[in-house]
Amino acid sequence: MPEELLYREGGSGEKMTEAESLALISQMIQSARDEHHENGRGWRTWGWILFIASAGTFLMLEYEVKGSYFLWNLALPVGIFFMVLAGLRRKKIRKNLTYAQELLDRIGLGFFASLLAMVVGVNVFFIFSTSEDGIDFWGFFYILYGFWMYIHGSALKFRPLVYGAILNWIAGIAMFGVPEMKYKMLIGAVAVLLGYLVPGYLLYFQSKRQKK
Amino acid sequence: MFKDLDPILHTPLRLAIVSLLISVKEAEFTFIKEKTNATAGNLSVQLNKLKDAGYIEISKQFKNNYPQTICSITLAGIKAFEEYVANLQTYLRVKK
Repeated sequence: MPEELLYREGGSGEKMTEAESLALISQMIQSARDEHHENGRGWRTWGWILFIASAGTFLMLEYEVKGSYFLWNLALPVGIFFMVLAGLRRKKIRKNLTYAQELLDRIGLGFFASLLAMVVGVNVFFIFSTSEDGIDFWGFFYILYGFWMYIHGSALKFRPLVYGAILNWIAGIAMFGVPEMKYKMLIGAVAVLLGYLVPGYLLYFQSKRQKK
Repeated sequence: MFKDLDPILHTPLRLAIVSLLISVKEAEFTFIKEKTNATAGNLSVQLNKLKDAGYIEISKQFKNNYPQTICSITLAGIKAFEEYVANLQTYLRVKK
């Protein structure tokens, strides 16, 4: 693109050739598209929180430590706190709003509302249920996370996240077939490690390279 | 049949502005300035010309006590841009 076209003052008198016009249009559209704000922060935040909760619960069950599930009760409020903080900061520095980003924001909001509703629902079940058999719900979380990752991965055309989504779907399904709790947690930890943290760090390094 | 290229769009800076706004829902003045490398004064003049033509909307608001100018393309702007691109393609096809 002949960049000097943009430097001329006045902007109304000068003429461009048809080819220059097309080149300018194409450069500007590409430039606006490239301006997405994904640096892997969300994946890294949730990756660590869920990895610690999964692996920590595995270790606590393995060594028969009391109160094995408190890490999971902490995970959601801590995660939401960090995401709200990151969302407010991003809003402050955001200079444009692409259609894709807007869609992702909406899907993200719907997802966290669904997740919160599921957690509240499960807790209500345990508070009020008189049944001695627990419900086998763990797989649902990983399947739902798979949905979130797939939306992001496909919208950003970032394959590691799409593979992460597939891995989390498989892990979620596998959890329904594994009766022992500690092995469900081990499967979850592996799914989060490969599915969230690896793509999260790939995005982080990619965004660092782009800034240089 | 050739149609004249829209004079509102057929200048570098205004075409750059509209091409940027066609790809986003809305953009701040500073974002457009950064992407087009234009001076604030020139950009402001050209934005107002596009606004007067009904191609874009400009809203002013305050964010953290700083004034903020948000621009977005209108339906008329999208239509004009599409026509401009179609006309360009006609010219280029004949030239080949």
